Amino acid sequence: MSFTFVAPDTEKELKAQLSEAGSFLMTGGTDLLVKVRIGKIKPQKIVSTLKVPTLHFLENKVDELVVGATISYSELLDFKPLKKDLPILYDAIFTVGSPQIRNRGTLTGNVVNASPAGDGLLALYLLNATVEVSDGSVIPIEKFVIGPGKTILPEREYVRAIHIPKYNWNVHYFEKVGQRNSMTISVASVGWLIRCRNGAIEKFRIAYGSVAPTVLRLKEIERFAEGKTIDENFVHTVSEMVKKSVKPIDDVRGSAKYRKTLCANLVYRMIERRTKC
Amino acid sequence: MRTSNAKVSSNNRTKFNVVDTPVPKVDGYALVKGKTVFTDDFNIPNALTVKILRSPHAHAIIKSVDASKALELEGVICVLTHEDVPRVAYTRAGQGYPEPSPYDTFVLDKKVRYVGDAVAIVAAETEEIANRALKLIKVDYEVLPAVLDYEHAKDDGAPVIHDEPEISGAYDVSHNIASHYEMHIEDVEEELAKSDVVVEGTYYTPNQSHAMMEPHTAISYFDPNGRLTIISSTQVPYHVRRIIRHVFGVESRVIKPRIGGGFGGKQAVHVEAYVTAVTLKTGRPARCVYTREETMTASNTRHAMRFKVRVGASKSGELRVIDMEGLSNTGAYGEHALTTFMVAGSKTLPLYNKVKAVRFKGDIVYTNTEPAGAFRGYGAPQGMFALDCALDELANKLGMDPIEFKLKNSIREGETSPVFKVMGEGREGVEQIIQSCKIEECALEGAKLFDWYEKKKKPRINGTKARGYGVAFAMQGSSIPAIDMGGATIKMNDDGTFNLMVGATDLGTGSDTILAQIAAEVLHTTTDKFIVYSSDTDVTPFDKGAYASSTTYVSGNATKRAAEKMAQEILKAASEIMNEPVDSLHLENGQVVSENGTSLTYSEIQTKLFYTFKQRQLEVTESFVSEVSPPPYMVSFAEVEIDLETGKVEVVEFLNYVDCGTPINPKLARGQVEGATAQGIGMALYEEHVLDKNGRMVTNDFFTYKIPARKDLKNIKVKFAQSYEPTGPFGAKSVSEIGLDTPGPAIANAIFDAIGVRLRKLPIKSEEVFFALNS
Repeated sequence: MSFTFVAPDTEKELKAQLSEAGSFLMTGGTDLLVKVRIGKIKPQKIVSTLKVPTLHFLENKVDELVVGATISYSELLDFKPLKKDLPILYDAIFTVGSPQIRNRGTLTGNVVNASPAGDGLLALYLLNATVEVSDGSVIPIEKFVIGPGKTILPEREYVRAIHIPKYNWNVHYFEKVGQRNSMTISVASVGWLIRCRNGAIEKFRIAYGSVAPTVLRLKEIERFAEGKTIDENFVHTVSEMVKKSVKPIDDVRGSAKYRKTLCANLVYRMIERRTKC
Repeated sequence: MRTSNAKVSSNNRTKFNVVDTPVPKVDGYALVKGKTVFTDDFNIPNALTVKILRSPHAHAIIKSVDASKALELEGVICVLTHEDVPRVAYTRAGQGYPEPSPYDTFVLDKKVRYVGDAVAIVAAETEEIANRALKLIKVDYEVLPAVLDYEHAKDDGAPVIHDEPEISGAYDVSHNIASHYEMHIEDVEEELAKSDVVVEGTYYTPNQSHAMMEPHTAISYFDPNGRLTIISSTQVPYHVRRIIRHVFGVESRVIKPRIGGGFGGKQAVHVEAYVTAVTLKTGRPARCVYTREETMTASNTRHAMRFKVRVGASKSGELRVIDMEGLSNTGAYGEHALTTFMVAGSKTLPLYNKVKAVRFKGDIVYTNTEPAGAFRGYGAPQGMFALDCALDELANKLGMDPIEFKLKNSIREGETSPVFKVMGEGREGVEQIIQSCKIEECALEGAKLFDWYEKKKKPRINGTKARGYGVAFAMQGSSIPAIDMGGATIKMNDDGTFNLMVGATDLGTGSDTILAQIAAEVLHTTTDKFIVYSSDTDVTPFDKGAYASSTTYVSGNATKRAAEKMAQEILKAASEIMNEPVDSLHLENGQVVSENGTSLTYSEIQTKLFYTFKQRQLEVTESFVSEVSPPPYMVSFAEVEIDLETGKVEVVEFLNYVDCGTPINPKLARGQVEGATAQGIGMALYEEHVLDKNGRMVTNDFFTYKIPARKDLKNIKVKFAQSYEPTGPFGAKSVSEIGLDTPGPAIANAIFDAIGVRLRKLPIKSEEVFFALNS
C-alpha cells in the first residue's frame, strides 16, 4: 500500500490534482482510509479537500442551509440553528460513529461514499437536498446517488457543497437500529417528516436505509398519506405498505426477514410517540 | 520485631498504609504518553519481517509447496515449509509441565486443519516484500471434507482431523475427541427421582475473540554470545522458554515487555515458534506482528460449549441434584481443551455445596475451526451460564425468588464441597475449607442497593418497552493449587529504593503496581520506592505466568514473603550497625527505628553495607505455591430494557457485588470487574464468530465483530464486600476473571423476567429476541 497524498489549498489546484488517473478524493477519510487499509481500493494518489478554505463554509439562508464540503459532522452539530431549522439532520448525524469519527467525517463524504446505510444521506433524501458539483451543476440527491458506493459525480470534479431546503415540518423522526449503540452501521434506519394541516397530513416523507441498494424514499406511501389522519388504522396500512416496498438482503448484520419486519414495525413508533397532526 | 501491621480477623480489614488504597499505576504515565513499552516498539537492527502463509481451506493435505517464484523476489531471505522445521509434536498451551493438553500441534504440518492454519513461514527484508512473497507461493492442496459444526464432530463417518501418528494425550482421535472428562458424587438419577421439581435445559455459549489491543507479536535474535533471545507479547514467558526448547532443542532467554492486553489469548505460543525458526535458519533477527485478521482468525478463541443441564429440588427449595453434560469445541487443536472444560464444573459446582448428588461429564471435540484456548474465565463463564440459568428456571418453577433460592443452597464460610477434591485442572483437585465467603452480604446488600424487591413489583411491560431484572451468582478460584508457583526477588539499593523482580506478567491488569504495594506495605515505605521489573527469564525468578486468577494470590504471596525476609535482613543489618538487639527495632517510614529513638534510613543502611560495614548486597528471593485456591464470590444484578418492536436489548444497569477479599488496589480491582463485565456483556449480546460455508470466518475484523462500545455499557456499578482471606496477601483473593461469569446468566435471566421467553443460547442478539417475541 503506497500512494501519494496531496492537500491542495485552492480549488484550482484541487482540480489540477484530480486530473491525474488513479486519484481518489478524500473529504475526511473516515470511509476512504478504511477501504484503503483493507485493500478494497488501491489509490495511486489521495487528494484531500480539507485544506481548501473556499470549501469550508456554512451559509444559513432564509430558505436553505448550504453546507460546504469540508464541514465536519461535529462542526455541523455545533452550529446552533441546525437543531431548530433541520432537526431531522441533527438527529441523524448525531448517531454517526463516535465523537472522533464525527470530528473527522463530513456530510459531503457521506454523500459521495453513497452507502445505503449512510445516516446523513437518509436525512438529505428526506429533505430533498441538492448537491452542488464543481462543474456548476446542482443535482438532486436522489439523482446524484445511483447505487452502493456509486454516484454520478464526473471524474475530475468534486462536490462543493450540499444545499438543504428548509421547510416547516411539524413532525420529524429518525431512528437507526444497529448491532450496538454506537460505532455501528445500521441494520435498518428510518426517518419521516410530516407537515400537518387541519388535523390531517398535508405532506409526508418517509425513507429507509440499509434495505435497498440506495437509501429508499417510499413515494407511493408518501402520496397515500396525504390528507390522512394519523390513527392506528393509518399506521397499520403504512406498515403493510412498507413491508411490500423494502428489499433488504441477508448479511452479517441481520437477515432479510428481520430487516423487513423491523422496517414495518418501526412505523408503529408513531403510535408509541403519540404522533398526531 | 514488627514487619507487618496486618492483624485482622476474617471480618475486619485493618487500616493498611499502602494496601487497599488506590495508588496510581506504576506504568500509567508511560502508557498514556505513548512511550515505547510494547514488543513491537523494540528496535532490533537488521531484523527480518516474518509473515505466515495461511490455509484458505478448512481441512486439506498439502501435496506440494512451490516457493521458487517467491524466492526469486529480491529481499526474500527464506520460505520455510513443514520440511524445514523440526517435526516435534507439542501443545501451544502455556501451562505447567507436564501440560494436561494433547501434543497435537507442529510448528508447520503437511496437513492444515482450519482456514488460517499455518502453511509456510516467509522472511524478507521488508514487510512489503514479505507480503508480495506470500502471493507468489504456489500450494497444491488436496482438499478434505471438514467438520465445521462441533455438534457433529463425533458423528459416524465424520472426517478425522488428527490422524498424525505422533499425537499423544488425546482421548479418541478416531471420533475427533480431544479430551473426555466425567465425575459424579452419589446417584443423580436417584436424586432426580426424589426431587419434587426438575428443570432440564440445553444451553449454548459462543466462541469469543479476546480483542486485546496489542496483536500477537514476537522478535527473536541471537545476542552477541549466540544466545537465542525472544522478546514476546506473552503472558507466560517461562512456558514459552520451555516449549521452544522442547520443539527446537535450543536454550533461550524470553523477555516479556509491557503487554497490551491478553485476556488469556497470550497464554499460548503463537508467534514465538515462527520467529525462532527464522532466526535459527538465517542467523538474523526476526520480527512478526500479527495483523488484526490473524489475531481474530488464527490465534485462539473461547471454547464454545453446549451443556445439557438437569437440576432438581424439593418443594421447599432444597437443591438436591445438579447434572451437567457438556460438549466443548476446541477447534483444530486441543490447547487448554480438558482444563477449560473441567473449570466449567470445578469453578461453578462448589458454589452450590448443599446438593446431594452431582454429575459432570462430557467431551471436548476437534473441529476444523480456529483453535480454542485460554480466555478470561476459562470455562467458568460457559459452565455458569448453563448452571445459573437452570437454577433461575428452577426457582421460577418453584415460585421462589431466585436470590433466596440460590442463597439458600450456596456455600458459606467454614464449609467445603467434595467437588474441590474431585475436580482440579486436568487432574484431581485439593480439599479446602472455605475461610472467606461473603456471598450473603453480596446477595442481600446487593439486592438493597439494586432495589431488587421494589423493582420486581413493577409492571414489566410499558407500551412498546419491556423491563426485566435478573440475578446471577458466581465463584472463581485464586490460582491452580499445588501446581502453580511464583517467585519474587527484592534487592535493596543505597538510595533507599528496591528492585522488585518478578516473573509475574502484567498484561494490563496492574500487577506490577499491586505487587509493589504489597512489598511497600511490608517494608513500611511507599510504592514509588519500588522499581518493578517483569519479566525476563534470565533475570527474574520463575513465575508460572499471568493466568488462572493467580497473580495477586500466588505472585502476591511470593512478593510478601520476599518482602518479609528483606525486612528481617534489614533489621539484622541495622541491629549490627546500631548495636542494638533486633527486638528493640522496627520499620517505619523507610527507616529502622529503635525503642531509644535513634533511627537509620534504608539508604544509610545499604550505603554502609556497600562501602564501610560488613559489606554485602541485601537481596532475597522467595517462592509461593498454594495448597488451596480460595474462591472469590460475586452476585450480579442486571436490569434490561427490551424494545418490543425491534428486539433490541439494553443493559440499563449492572451491579456487581464482589467478595475478592482485600482489594489490594480498589481502583484497579474495580477496573478488573468493569472490564470483565464489558467482555461478559459482549459475550451475552453481541460477540459471535460467523463462518461461511467453507469455514472462513466472516467476522474477522472490528467492523463485523462487535464488542460493546461505550454507549452499550451504561451503568456498571462495582461494590466490594468486607472480606479478608487469611491465606492471601493482606487478605486478598483474585478478582480478574470472576466478573465474566455473571453477565451471561444475569442478562438472560433478566430477559426472561421481562418477556417471559427463556433464551438459552448466547449471544442473545436483537434479531433472536425479536423472533422469540414474534413466534
